This record gives sequence, structure tokens and C-alpha cells, in this order.
Amino acid sequence: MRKLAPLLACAALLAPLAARADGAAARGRTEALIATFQKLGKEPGGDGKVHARLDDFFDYDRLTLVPITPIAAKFSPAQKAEFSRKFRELIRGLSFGDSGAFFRRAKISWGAPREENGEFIVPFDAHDPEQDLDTSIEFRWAVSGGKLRLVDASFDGSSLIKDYQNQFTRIVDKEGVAGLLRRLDERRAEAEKKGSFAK
Amino acid sequence: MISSILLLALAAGGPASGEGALGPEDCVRVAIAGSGQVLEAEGHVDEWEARLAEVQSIHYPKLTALGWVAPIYRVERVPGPIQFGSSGVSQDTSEWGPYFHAQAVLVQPIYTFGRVAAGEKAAGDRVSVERARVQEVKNAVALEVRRLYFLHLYARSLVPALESASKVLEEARTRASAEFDAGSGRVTTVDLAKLDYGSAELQKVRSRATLGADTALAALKHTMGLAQDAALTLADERLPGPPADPLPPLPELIRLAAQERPEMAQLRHGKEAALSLEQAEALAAMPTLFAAGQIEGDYTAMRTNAKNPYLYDPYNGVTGGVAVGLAWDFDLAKIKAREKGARALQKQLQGLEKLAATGIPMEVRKAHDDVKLAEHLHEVAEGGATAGRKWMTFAASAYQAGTGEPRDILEGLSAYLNAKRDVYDQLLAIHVKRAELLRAVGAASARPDLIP
Repeated sequence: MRKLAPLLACAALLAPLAARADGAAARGRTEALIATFQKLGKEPGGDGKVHARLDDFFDYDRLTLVPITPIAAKFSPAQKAEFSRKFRELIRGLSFGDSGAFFRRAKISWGAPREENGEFIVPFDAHDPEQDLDTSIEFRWAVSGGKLRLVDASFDGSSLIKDYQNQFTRIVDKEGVAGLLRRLDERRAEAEKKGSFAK
Repeated sequence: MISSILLLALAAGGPASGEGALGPEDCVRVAIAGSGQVLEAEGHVDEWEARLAEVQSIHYPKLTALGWVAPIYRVERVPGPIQFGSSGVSQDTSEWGPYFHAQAVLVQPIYTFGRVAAGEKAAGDRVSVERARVQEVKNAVALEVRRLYFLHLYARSLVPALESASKVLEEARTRASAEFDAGSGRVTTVDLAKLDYGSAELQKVRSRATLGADTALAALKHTMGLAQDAALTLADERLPGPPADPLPPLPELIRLAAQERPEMAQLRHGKEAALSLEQAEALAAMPTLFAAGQIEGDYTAMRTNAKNPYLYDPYNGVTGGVAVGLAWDFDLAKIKAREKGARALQKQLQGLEKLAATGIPMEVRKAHDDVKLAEHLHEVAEGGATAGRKWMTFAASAYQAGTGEPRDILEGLSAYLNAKRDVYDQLLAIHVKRAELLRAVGAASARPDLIP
């Protein structure tokens, strides 16, 4: 017990210096993510480095696998891996560019972060004066790999991941897993043809 | 030096058009200062003040004077006794000369047995009626200015969302055309026609919004008394959100209306004026006690001056004197008729008072309820806009994930635009109905702070 005391004292002293996971930290990560989005299309060397920085904010494992959790049993391990890869590429390829332009225009009003089941939600309102669009957004952050990473986004109170779950379940019920994978391929091909797919 | 300073001080008035941005209250101030309607109403006040002065003029002395000169031939008295059959004068029609006549009467009314006092009161109350009418006109101008100000902002508020939607539709049309030309099977002629129809509808709304903004601004300038090419910068670019302060309670608003409505002041003074008028008409049968002085003089060398004071000589002489007397113009039938006319006026005012007793509170109540309804509908519309926005957002995310169709985005966009327009419709209604409530309580120009 006497040998443990110094260790416990050190742990107590060092605890605040460990990876901080709280509302303020989540707010900081949200601000950093938005600031990184705003750099898209503005870097002289292209968006490659910005994409790499953006990747650090996302928990792709959760973002790609939680949407198929209700129907996971219908996927073979290979299909699951294929879906995860293709969906991740689609998210990066299509969302990043649009988000950059939006966050550059938007005026942000911050709400108070809150904790839910060990995860942190940062609410904010975004007003796009060019389109006269007001949106209430919530970014949900969870600790993954020692950092707070984005695991979901809600728009006007509705979760994107939850919506994907329902969409994918409906498609798989009608067209099977192969149908879902085919749709991902078709969408990517369409975007690449138009040049709107960021690689 | 001093005159230059004075000129600068005079020039530094309130904000004029083109000098700084004007909010709704600034526009009201400019409009009232330059309004032709207000000027006309003020002219009526001046008119009745002049009539009051006319009635009051009876207190002052009146001078009537007359003078003339006429040619007359010579007639002379022939010396000697006047006998029957002989005129005792000789006439010479070949000799002519002037005949001068002058007369003046100065009258000072002393007492009218109450008639003038009643007439003064009637005219004075009528002036007060016209002053209240000026306030009524100012309130109407203020309401019109506020209505046009917010109508202009309403049209401007719609434009960004419509332009953004137009871009989306244009892009969608281009993509759809490419799909159709490629024969992919995902786009049919019906789909293209739907997009074209949607574009046309959107273009109509855009055109109405743009033209509406311009027309409302032109009407606002007109109401403010500005030239059409005058520069006018408004303080707001979009419709402001709903005012945060709640309305005063309805009973308080009704009490305010009874106190502030210029129509109530018009009725009050109008009744007093009608009563005084009836009194004045009844007293028209009374005489006027006056003091007067008169002088009259005649001269001509063409007639013999009869120096005997007992002889009447109209050609040479001076007469005059002072007197106190009564002047009386008694026409009973006319007096009774005019009294009846005054009582008829009282009856009209009683009718108006009866109408106002329930009509004004009803007007206040309706305006109050309209504001409440607009606020409630605005909340509901905001919910609809949120739903439309979610529809559009999640349709876009589904399309990006490869699981949704472009038509879902367009349907979401259409729903969002309709809902957004509804939000602005209700927001405009909130501002306009508050302005109408301000007019209904009679405070539109004098006390806009009463309704936040």
C-alpha cells in the first residue's frame, strides 16, 4: 500500500494532463474542424493536406459501420469491409468540398455543449446569408484512439447516422447487400464523371 | 460669422433622405414632415382659426365711411320773402360745380347677450376638432409608411432563398439533360418538363419579389414626400425577427385608445362645438348693445348755404353725434331652422360617439388578435420551415450516399421554399399588424413606443 501511494499521487497529479474529454474540449475540436473545412479550396498546394487533417477528426469506423448495425447479419465480412471502404470514400469525396464553401459563408452561434453517455454534443446554429438558410447543427464527439472524433452529426434535431441506418435497411431489404454496394459504386461513378468527387 | 453659424445650425436638422440609413421611425418622421395630406389637414386648422378670428372680430370697433363728389348746377336763393307760387330760387343750368359728401360711422359692440361668446366657443372647439384630425392624418401616414417599409423588406428577404433555389434547379436541369441525352433511363421527358415547370414557377415568384421590392420602395418614397430618384438607404436589409417584447394586455390597449385616439378628441370637441353652435343660434334672436358715433358733411358752392338750423339743407353742413343703441335682426323662423340644424349636428355626433364607443375597442381588439394570430402562425411556419429544411438536407445526404434520388432533393427544396415564404408572410404580418395596432390605439405618430 505504501508503495502504491506515490503512484496514486502521481496519477492524481497527471490526470488533468491526460487527453481531456469534456464539453470545452469538444467545442475546441468542433471549432478546429470548422476552421479546417474553411481551408478547403484555399490552399495553394491543393486540398490533399487539408483532407488528411480532416480525416483526423472523423471516427470512420463508427461512421461507416453504425449505419448498417441493424442489418449487420446480412453482410459477409468481406461485404462489410467493402461497404466500410466505399462509404468512407464517398463521405470524403462528396461531403468535404460542399462543407468548405458552406462553413466559409456561415455565421455561427454557439450553444452550450453537453454530455450524453460519455459522448459530447456541441450544438451551434449556422446562418448562411447567401442562401438565407438557418440550420441547427449538433456534432457528436466520442473518444477514439486517444482523441475526440466525430461520430455523428444532427441537423435540426435529426441524426444523420440514424437516417443512414433507415435508408440502408430499406435498400438492403429491397435489393440486398449487393444492391446497396452497387448504388455506392454508381454514385461515385456519377460524381467522378462530373468532376465533383474529391480524391 | 454669426449668420454662417446660424445657417449651419439650421442645416443640421434631422436625417434627410440619403444621409445615413433610415429605420421605420425615421421614415415616419420624414413622411410626416413632408406629407401633403398632413399639410392639407393643417390648412383646415388654419381655416377654422381664421373663422374663429372672424367671430372674435366682433369685439373690435367697426368703421364705415363713405365719400363722394358729384357735379351739380347752381341754384341760389333769391333775396326776399317766399311767396305761394314762387320757389324763391334762381337756377342756372349753364354753371356747374362739384358737390362733396362724406360720412363715417364708428360702431363699438358692447354686449351681445352671450351670442358672441357662444359663437367663439363653437369656433374654438371646431379648431380643436381639426387639430385632432391632423393627428389622425399623421397616424394614417405613419401606418402607411410602416406598412411599405416592411413590405419592401419582405420582398428583399425572399430574394436570396429564391436565387439559391434557382441555381439548384439550373444545375439539376443541366444534369438531368445530360442523363436524358445519354439515354441512361434515369430521366424521362416528364422529369425534364417537371424541372422546367418548377423553374418557371420559381422565376415568377422571383420576378414578383424583385418587382415588389422596387414598387414598395417607390411607394415608400412617395409617402415620404421624396422624389422617385432620391437616394434612400434603409437601416434594415431583411425583415427583422419578431419583436421580443410582448404586447400590453388588451384592457390596457383599449384604455389607451380611449385616451389617445384623435377620433375621441374630435368627438369630444365636436359635441362641445355643436352645443355651443345651438346656443349661438338660439341667441341670434338677442339684440346687440352698441355705442356709435356718426359724422356727416356736405359742401358745394353751387347752392346757397341755408344757415337756419331748422331748415334741412342737404348741400352744405356738418352733422354728427354719438349714441348708445340696440341693433336687432329678428327672424324667428330662420333662427328656429338654424337651431334645428345645430341639433341635427349634435345627433350626428351622438351617433358617431355611439359607434366609436364600441367600434374603437373592437378595432383595437381585432388588431391585437391579428398580432397574436400572426405570432402563432409564425411559430407554426418556423416549424414547417425546419421540416422543409430537414427534408432538403437529408434528401441531399441520401443522394450523396447513393441511396436517394435527385427528385427528392427538388421536392425538399420546393417544400422548404414554400415554408420559408410562409415564415416571411407571417413575419410581415407581425410587423404590419403591430403597426395597425399602434394606429388603432391612436399612437402611430406621436407615441410609437407604446407598442414595441
